[in-house]
Amino acid sequence: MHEILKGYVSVSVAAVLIMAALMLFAPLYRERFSKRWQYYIWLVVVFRLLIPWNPANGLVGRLFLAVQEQHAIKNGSVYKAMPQDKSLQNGVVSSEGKMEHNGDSSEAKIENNGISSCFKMLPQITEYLWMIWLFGVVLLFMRRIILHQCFVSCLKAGCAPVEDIRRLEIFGKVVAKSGLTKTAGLYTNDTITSPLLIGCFHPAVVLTKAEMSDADFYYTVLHEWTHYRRGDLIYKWLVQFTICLHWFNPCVYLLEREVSRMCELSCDEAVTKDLGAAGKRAYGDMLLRAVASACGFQRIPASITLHRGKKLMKERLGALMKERKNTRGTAVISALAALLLTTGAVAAGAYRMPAAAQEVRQDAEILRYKKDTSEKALMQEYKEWGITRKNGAYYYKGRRIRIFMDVRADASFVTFHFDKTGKMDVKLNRAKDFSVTGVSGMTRQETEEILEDYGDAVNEVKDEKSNDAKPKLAVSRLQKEELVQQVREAVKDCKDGTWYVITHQGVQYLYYYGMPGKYAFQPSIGQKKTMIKLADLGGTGERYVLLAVRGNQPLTVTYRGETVRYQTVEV
Amino acid sequence: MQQASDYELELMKVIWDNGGTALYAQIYAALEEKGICWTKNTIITLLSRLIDKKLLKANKIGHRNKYTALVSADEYQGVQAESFLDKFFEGNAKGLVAALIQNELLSEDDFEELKQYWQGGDAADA
Repeated sequence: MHEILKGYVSVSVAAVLIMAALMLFAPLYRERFSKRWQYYIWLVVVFRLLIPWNPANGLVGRLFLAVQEQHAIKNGSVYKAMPQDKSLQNGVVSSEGKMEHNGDSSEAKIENNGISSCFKMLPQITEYLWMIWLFGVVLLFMRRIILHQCFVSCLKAGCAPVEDIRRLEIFGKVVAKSGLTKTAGLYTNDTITSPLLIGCFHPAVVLTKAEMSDADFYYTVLHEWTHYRRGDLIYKWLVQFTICLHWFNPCVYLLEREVSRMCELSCDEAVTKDLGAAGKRAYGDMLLRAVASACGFQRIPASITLHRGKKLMKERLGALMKERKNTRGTAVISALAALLLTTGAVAAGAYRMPAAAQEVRQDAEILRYKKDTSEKALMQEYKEWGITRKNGAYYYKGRRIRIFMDVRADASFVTFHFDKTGKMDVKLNRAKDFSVTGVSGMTRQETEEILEDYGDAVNEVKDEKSNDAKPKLAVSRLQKEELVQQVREAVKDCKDGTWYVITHQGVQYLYYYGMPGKYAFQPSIGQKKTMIKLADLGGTGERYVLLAVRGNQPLTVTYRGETVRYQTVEV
Repeated sequence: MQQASDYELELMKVIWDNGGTALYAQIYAALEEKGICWTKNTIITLLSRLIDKKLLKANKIGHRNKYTALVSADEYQGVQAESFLDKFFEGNAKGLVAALIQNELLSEDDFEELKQYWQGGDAADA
C-alpha cells in the first residue's frame, strides 16, 4: 500500500515542477493565449496529480528509485550503482562506498548533502505514513462532501421557483441553444449573494432575490449555463478530489485558486465570444450590478473573500475590454505549448511501482523483496558462465574469486563481491538488454582502484601477501597506531586544522586533523607528480586524514575541490 | 393539496384533456394547438414542479416520460374552490353567492340551478 503513497508523493513533486513552469511562463502567455487554454491547461497538472503511473521512469521517479536504492544499500541486501545519469547523481545520490566504473577509469563518486539524507529517510517513514495519508484523504473528502450537502440542503430550503413565464422562456432558450438535451431548474434564493449553478445530474440555476433587467437576467443565466455546458462542475470536483489526495502538498491549494479564477475568466470569454462591443459592455454592466447587489447583501463589510472577489472582478472586466486576436499562429503555438507541457508532465514522471516495472531485475525494490526468486535466476545465469557460489564465496571453475563484478552496460553493478581470501578477479559483462556478453579478468589498474577503496581490507591483504611479487600500493590509508616512532612523534607536534606532509624514509605521510567525518581518497599517480583528491563521506570517523604515499614525487592534495596548502616536515 | 400556478394549470388541463396521462410530445403538440409555444426547458420545469406538488407523477417508458395526473380535474377544482371559499369567505358559501350576484357574475338561471342543487342534494349540474 505504501507503494501507492510513494507514487502520489512523487507525482506531487512532479506536479509542483509543472506548476512552477506554468507560473513562470505566465507573463509570456497570459495576454496571448485564450483564457480557455489557460483554464484547461491546469488539467495537465490535475491529471499528473491523479495518476501516479508513468510509462517509463521520469525525472522524479528516478530520483525516488535512487533514494530507495540507497535505502536498500544501507540494508546491505543489494549493491547496485546508479545509471550514468550524472545530472541526477550529482544532485541527489549520496554514495557511501558506491563506485562507478567507466571502462578503465574508476572513481568513487562522493556526494553528501542535506537533501540526500532527507530523502534517504523517506522510504522508511512512508511505510508507516500511508495510513495517516489515507485517513487524511478519506476524512478531507468526506468533509468536503458533507459541507457541500449541507450547503445544498440549506440552499434548497431557501429556494423559490421562478414563476415569471417570460424569464423561464429566456432561460429555456439559452438551454435550447446550448444543444444539450438536459433541462435545468430556475430558482431564486435570498440567502446567496451571487448567482450560482448546482447539480451535475439535475442542474439548476439559482439567482439572487435582487431585481434585474431582462438583459441582465439573460447574461446571468447564459453565464451560469455556460459553466454547466463546459462541465465546470466536474472539473471543480476533480480538483477537489485532487486536493484531498494531495493534502500534504500546499501547492495544490494554489492549483484550486488558479483553476477557479481561470474558470470565471474563461467562462466570460466563452459567453462574450460572439458578442459585439455593445454586448460585451452590457455583459460587463451585468457583472458590475451583480457585485453591487452582492455588496448590499454582504453582512461582513470587509472580508478576504470579498477583496479577492473584487480583484477577480477587476480582472474579468479588464479582460472584457481587451480585444485578443485569435490568429492561427497563436492557436498553433498554444497547441504546441500544451503538447510540450503534457510531455513535460510525463517526463517529470512518477515513481514507478515495482509491479509495473518490466525490467524487474533492474529494480532495487524487487531485488530486495523478491531476493530469493531473482537470486535463484541470477545464480543459474552465473552457473552457465562457470561462476558458482558456495557459502557466500564465488568460484570460477573451482577457483575462489577475490573480486567479482557483474556489470551492466551502463557500468552499474548487478553484483559486487569482495573476498580477501580469493585468488582471482572476475568480471561478468552485460549488454544493454541485460544479457551476459562474456566473462573476463580484470586489468591491474581496475583491481588496484577497487582495492584502494577497500582501505583496511587491502592493508590486510598486503600484510598477508608481503612476499608476493605484486608491487605495493602507492597510496594507502593508515591508522596513527601503525606509524613508526619518528613519524608518530612528528604527528603529535602537528596542529589541528593544518595540513602536513611528513617525509620519512622515502614515504610521504599526509596528515590533517579536523575532518567532519569519514573521508574517501582518490589518488592519481603521474610520471612526475602524485595527486590525491579527498572528499567527505559523512558519518563519524577518526576525524583525521593519514595517508602514506610511497616515493618522493611532489604531492598535490585537493579537498572539497580546492588545492590544499600543507606544511612539510622531515624526520 | 397544493395549488398549481396559472402556467402549471395550463399543463394540467392538457393532461386532463388527454385522459389523465400524456407524453411530453403530446403535451407539446397540444400546447402548440392552443397557441402556446414554450421551450422544452420551461415545459419540463413546470412538469417537474407539478410532480413536486404531488399533482403529477412521471413513469419512464423507455427514454420517455409518461406523465399521469394524480388528481382529476373535478377533484382539483373542488378542493381549490373549497380553499378559495375558506380563504375569502371563511367557508360561508352564501357570501360567495351573494358576491357573485352582486357583481352580476351569476345569472338568474344559474342561481335557480344552484338553488335546486342545494335543496335537492343531488348532482344536478351538467
